[in-house]
Amino acid sequence: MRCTARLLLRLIPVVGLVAGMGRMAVAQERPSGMTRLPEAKVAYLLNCGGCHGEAGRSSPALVPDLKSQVGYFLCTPEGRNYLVRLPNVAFSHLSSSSLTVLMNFMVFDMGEGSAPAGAKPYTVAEVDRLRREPLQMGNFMAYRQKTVAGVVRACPAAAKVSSFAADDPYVLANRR
Amino acid sequence: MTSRSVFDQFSERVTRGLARFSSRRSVLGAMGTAAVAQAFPLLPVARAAETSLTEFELKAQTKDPLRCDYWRHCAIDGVLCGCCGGGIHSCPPGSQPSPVSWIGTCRNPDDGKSYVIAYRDCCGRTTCQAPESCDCNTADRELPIYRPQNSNDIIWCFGTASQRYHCSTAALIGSAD
Repeated sequence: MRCTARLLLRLIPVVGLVAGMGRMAVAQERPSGMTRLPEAKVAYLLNCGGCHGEAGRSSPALVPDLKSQVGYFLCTPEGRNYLVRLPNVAFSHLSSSSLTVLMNFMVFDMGEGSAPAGAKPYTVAEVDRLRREPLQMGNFMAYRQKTVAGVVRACPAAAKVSSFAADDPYVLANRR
Repeated sequence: MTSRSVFDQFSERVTRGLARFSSRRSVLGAMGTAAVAQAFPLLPVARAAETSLTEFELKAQTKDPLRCDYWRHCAIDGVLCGCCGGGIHSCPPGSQPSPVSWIGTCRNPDDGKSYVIAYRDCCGRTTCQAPESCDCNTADRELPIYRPQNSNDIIWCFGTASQRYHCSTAALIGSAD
């Protein structure tokens, strides 16, 4: 008995090791060929992508498309401020520095080709200031259309994409 | 000579036996072995205690996507489409995927990494009648309805022809870390 007990005691780490190796040897379901997404893309997916679509397009009557068009908002100071002052942007749980990275990803990467030449990236101080002034006017859609009209005057090419076009499905769906 | 009680005789035998067969050195050896065993916490229980895993993550498995404890189902509220003639990222015939979805992250227990998962509802048919084991309600990183973008209690059938809820998928979008 004594010998068995001592042997068992000595075997504890060995059993532990074998158990550990056993776990490692089990066929693993590692999603193959999946590279790590950039941090800004993950932030976009988790905070915006559900509604705006994983690639910036989903259902334009429900939420405006972003892909290759959201950058046009940078054509005017009001448009630039508008994006950060949108309630779900301003009230995001992200820190202002993470939100700045996300905004720049959205405008320059997702909005590829739509930001005017020479547009400067958002700075942390700018985002931090703007998110303290969230949009809270009585008629949000009217304010949006005024902002969009200003953008189209500054960058006429914007009128060719859905979110800035006269027949924007989002505006038509939300018309009072 | 006084006669000893049975208990005394038994105690003496045990004590003498211990003294004869175990040296102090062997006790030290055994204690050392036990200490080494503690230094390598290789058993799953010890590993789980080290990080702050959610209740779901402690039990998650990677083999059977038709069960609620499959790792990608860490925040799914509804019937699994795989039980309804669809798959983990495909809608059953006659239903339509919602263009908007609930996006979150789930931890894969095999590599310990987080992956971005989109819970797309399949819409346009009445709720799928599947076995009870396919009706899941998990809530890792989910928030109450006052934070609608992070709530899975909402039926995400927006932007589809019909807002009728049929079942839920859990599409893998990418690796988050």
